[in-house]
Order: sequence, then C-alpha cells, then structure tokens
Amino acid sequence: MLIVFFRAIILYVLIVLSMRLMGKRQIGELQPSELVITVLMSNIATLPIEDITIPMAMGVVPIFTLVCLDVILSHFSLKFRGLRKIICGSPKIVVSDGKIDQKQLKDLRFSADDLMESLRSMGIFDICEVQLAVVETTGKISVYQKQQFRPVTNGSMKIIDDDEGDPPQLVVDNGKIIDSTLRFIGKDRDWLMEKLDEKKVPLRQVYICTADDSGKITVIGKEQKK
Amino acid sequence: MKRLAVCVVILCSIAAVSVYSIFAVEKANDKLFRLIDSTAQSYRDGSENTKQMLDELEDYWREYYVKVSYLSQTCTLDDISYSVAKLPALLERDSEDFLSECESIKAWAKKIYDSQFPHLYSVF
Repeated sequence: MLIVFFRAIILYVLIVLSMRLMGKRQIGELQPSELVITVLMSNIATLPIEDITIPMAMGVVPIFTLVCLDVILSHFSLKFRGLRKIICGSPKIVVSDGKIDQKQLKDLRFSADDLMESLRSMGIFDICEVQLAVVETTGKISVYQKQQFRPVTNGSMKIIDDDEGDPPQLVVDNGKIIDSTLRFIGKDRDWLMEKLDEKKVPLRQVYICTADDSGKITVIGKEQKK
Repeated sequence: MKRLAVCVVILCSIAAVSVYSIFAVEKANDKLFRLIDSTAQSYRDGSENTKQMLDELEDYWREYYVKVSYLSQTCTLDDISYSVAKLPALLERDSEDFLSECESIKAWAKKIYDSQFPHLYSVF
C-alpha cells in the first residue's frame, strides 16, 4: 500500500513537471500530437502505480521521452511550415460568403449540426451572417461575420483614446508585494509604500492592490475578523 | 529555447541511462554466472566449500535483486528468488536437482539481460 502511495506522489510530481515542460499551449488548446501525448501519458502513469511489479522507470522513461519528443517536434514545426502541416494539419475553410463548403465538411467529418452548434455558441444563428468560417487545427471553428452583422467597435466609430495604456496589474496579493508586476508598470516598492501610506493602509492589511502605469492605484483591505 | 535544451538533455540522459543499464545488467550477470559456475563446480567436485559458496551466491543474489529491480519486472526476479531459495535445501539433500536449479537461475538471468536489448521482435 505504501509503495503505491509513494509512487502516486512521485508520478504526480513528474507529470506536473512534464506538463510544465510542454508549456502553456498544452493547457489551452490541444493539437493532435499533444492530445495523443496527453492520453498516452495518463495511461502510462497509471501502470506503475497500479502494478507494483513494474519498475517506476517503465513509467517515467516513456513519459519524459514522449514529452521531450513533443517539445522538440513542436520546436521544429515552428521553423518548418511543411512539418507543421504534417503534424498539426492546416485550417480549412468551411463557409465562404455564407455558402457552406459541403465537400470540405464531409472531409472533416463535420455534420451541419456541428457547424450550426459552433456558430450558435458564438451568437450566430443565421448562416447567412457568416462571411468566412474556418475549422482550425484544434477543431475549433473561427468565424468572420459579414460587415453588416459585425458589432460596432471604437475603431469603426472612430473613437480613439490616446491615453490608452495597459490595464491595472495586481501588485499586492494578500499583503505580499509582487515585484515583477511593479517592474512591469515601471514603479518600485518605495512608490507603492508611499501610495499605501497616503491611503493609510498598512501593507499587511492589504488583501488586493492593483496599479497601472499612470499611477492609478486601487486598494482592497482585508476583512476584519469578527 | 531553454525548454528545448532541457528536453534535449533529458532525452540524451534517458538514452545514456538506457545504454548504461544494459552494461549494468551484463556486469551483474557476469558476477552471478561466475558465482553459480563456481558453486556448481564445487558441488560436482564434492568440495566442502560448496555451502560457503552458496552463502556467497545468496548474498550476491540479494544485491542483484535490488540493482536489477529498477530495470526489470520484479515478478521475473521473484521467480529467480524461488530458485535461489531452493538451493540450500537441495544441497542438504544432495539432490540432483541442485545443478538443474543453478542452470535455471542462469537461464532466467540471461532472459533479463536479453530483455534489455531492443530486438526487432521485442520492439514490434
């Protein structure tokens, strides 16, 4: 029992590390190769946990081999477009100027229901509103609406704000200063302490504090214990 | 780029450790075979040292088990352990099976060594 317990802990740490090694892209969207790796990894990891006669190395070696190969392959696929097309495939246009490319949909094994479902999830209920719809390599459908159906933007209304900067960043989290975000907005600890003094809130009483590069600061204090 | 370098290092390390494991098993097998051969020879000669050699073989087997268990399924090693455990009783009874049991240990150990090689039949 203890062997299984320790193995589970070790493999958990190793899988978290290997997922980190695969990078953030892995968590957000799965390319075909990444999906294969994820499925394989979850399967391989359970083997040495369940069966204690199997050495740990039999789980660790394939997991790291697969992850490393994936990272190396994705690095090369960034450099070589041809390789990227082989590994990830290429986006396919399924709707052009409101007309569905039925052959393409059939090739992709997408039903009309799948297409309509994806469009509805984007708030489009009429196919005629679609100028262009593309099935991405992840299987997600991206849609470009016809001009008359596109939402009004500041750009189209010619509303331009010259003072636009980055949004406020979290600079204090539960009484702890986050130096990296302070640096990002071009401020330092002295500036922050000065601002907190102005607001008469001691650092250890700050629950959340956000600030932007213009110097605007928002402080939310900790709730007092009843 | 850093991630790529880490991955290349990990892959190279895995390849290196895999190759090293073959040599580690080979080395461990060599010593095991030497001990088995000398014990079997001593048994054939009817030497009084056989018991002492068998003790040495049993001690080494425990060491071998720990080393090889990192690379091979322990059920295979357990089969050899049963054979090693039988040897003192067979020696005491002066059974003819003593030598055949020694040979079977060698065969199992050779099987473990062979299983480390990526033969075409074992890969596919």
